[in-house]
Amino acid sequence: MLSKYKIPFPKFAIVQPSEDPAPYAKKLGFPLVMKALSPQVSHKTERGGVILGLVSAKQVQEAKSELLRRYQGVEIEGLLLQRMVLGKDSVELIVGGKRDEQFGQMIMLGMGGIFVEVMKDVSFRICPIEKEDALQMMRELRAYPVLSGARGRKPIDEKRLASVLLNASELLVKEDPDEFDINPLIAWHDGCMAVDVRIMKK
Amino acid sequence: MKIPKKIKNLDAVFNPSSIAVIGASREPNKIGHVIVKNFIDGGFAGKVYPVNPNAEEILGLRAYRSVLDIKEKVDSAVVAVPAVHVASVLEDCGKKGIKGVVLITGGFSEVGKREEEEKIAAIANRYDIALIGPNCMGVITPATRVDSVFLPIYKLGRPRVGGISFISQSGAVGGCIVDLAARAGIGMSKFVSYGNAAVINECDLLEYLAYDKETEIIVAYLEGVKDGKRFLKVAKKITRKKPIVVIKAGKSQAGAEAAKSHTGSLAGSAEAYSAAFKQASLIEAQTLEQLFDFAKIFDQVLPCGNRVGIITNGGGMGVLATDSLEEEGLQLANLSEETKKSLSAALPPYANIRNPLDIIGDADSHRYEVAINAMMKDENIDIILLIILFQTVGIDSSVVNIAIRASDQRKKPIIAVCTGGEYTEMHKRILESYGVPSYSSPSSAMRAISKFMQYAAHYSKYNQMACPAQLKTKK
Repeated sequence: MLSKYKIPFPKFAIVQPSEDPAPYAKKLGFPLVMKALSPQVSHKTERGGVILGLVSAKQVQEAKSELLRRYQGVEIEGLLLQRMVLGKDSVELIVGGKRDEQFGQMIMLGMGGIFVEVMKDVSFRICPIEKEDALQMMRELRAYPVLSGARGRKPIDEKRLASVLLNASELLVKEDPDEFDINPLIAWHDGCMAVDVRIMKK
Repeated sequence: MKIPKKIKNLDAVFNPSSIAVIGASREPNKIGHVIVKNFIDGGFAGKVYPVNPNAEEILGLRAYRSVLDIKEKVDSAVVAVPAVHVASVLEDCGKKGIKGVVLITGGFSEVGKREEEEKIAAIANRYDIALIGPNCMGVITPATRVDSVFLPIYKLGRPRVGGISFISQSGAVGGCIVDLAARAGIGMSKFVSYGNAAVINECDLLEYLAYDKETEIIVAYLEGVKDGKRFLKVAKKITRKKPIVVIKAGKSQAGAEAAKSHTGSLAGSAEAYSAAFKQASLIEAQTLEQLFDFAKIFDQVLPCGNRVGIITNGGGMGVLATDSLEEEGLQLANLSEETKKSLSAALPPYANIRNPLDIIGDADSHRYEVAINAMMKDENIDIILLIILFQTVGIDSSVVNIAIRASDQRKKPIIAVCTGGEYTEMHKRILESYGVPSYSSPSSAMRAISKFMQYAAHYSKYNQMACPAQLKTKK
């Protein structure tokens, strides 16, 4: 779905629980993240289904055993092995969709992690959006200075973030999902990648 | 673009040359009486035909049994008959060739009678009647004295002629605002309370006002819209040419429930409305005070930049204004060397020549004139804020003329802040009625200036903006 709408995401491989992940890991390169995929678990982090910072084939193998142990009694469709996004001065963002009964699909941009829950630092627009809307959405965030290079940080690439927003808006209009979010979307000075995505359609 | 007939026919509602009042009454406390009386007392220049099957004459005018008995052409009708008679009255209007109807009568979708409302909408649509209402207060056009609002003129003031057109879903809120505008000296082009919007809804009205040459600024009180997508599209198009100031009621959960039962609008979340307003570059007011604070500033020419020059006869007010200016992201202008020189020559030696320019508590009108003239010429200044404290000994009413003359040059926006009691308020009203937007506090003025600036930036993006831009087509 992401490639259909040209939303960039890190290189990945799906490993079956019965397979050895090491050859996949070597092909992808390090560092890596491993995530357990299960139709019964929608919030992976809370369930302990994500292990970050794997830098060797051995660590990848250990991570697999650990995830299988943590998911005992839960159906596992596979293990997602993903290159870890490590941009210098990167920021975690959230892009979401929401259907409004009057205006239809809306797109949301927010600061990721604790900011979205505690600070409610988010901005909304009605889909479809234009480039100018995408840029305004960023500037509306209270944390915009963090994106634009406060305290000597490298500013994020606003053009790339804008194009992710435009493409996500197109996805929302064409697919009309009941629920959609990219969380996190990691942005840094020369990249912007969807690390985790959830799309639900009844 | 082709304008749909029912929108075109709104002309008959706002600018008719003849009008029938159906449900006209001889009883002084009946709505149908007040409407006829308001047309007569207000000085409507066209023909008024009272329609009442049981009366010969109402307020000295011949009464008719039905509109079909009127021989002459009738452009529009105000209908205030009981709900059960509305359908047949509308049929008569259609047959008579009436193009616009204001349907005051309530008792339709707002009390759950959706089918009855659809029935009357179908009749209106069959005859291409531009129907306002039902369950509304109707329209006021100050320039032609069209006035279907059934509240007596001595209780609800009517505003002077101006460039603001105001559409209101709620009759009560609309009425209060009209009354306040009249008192504050703010001018209006059209007022309409459109109630249940069975035929003509907010988007139709916005489209009409977008074409209307008399309307320079559109103000809207909304509880909800009929069609979100269309609203966004229509509003986006209009704001490239004319500013729209909007207030959305029913943003809280409880407020949304109240609005739903009030006019039966589909809720839509508060964040969706705010997003739509931003996307369409509407100017959103959070309070009724802001609604007019933001609208009236558009009486001035659009500024070319955000550098503000402040003139004050009270130092403290200048400081407060500077604080608010910074808070709103505006810039304190740097006076040019030439301005400094001319001011030092003209002002007393104890005056400090800087911005904000304190012309001291003993300033008279002449000192204001000198300061305004200098700032008018100064290319470092885009907007002039005049703080006038009318409480001082040196100030008299002539400062009002000086401010109005400066504003009439239409070179730079002139905005006034007058803080005080009744004497001050009186002068404020005079300034306002000559198109100098006047505020009670530096913070409300700065907030309005920042909205003004945002709109100016938006406008210049879509128009070859001569600087400063004349938004007003006439004066």
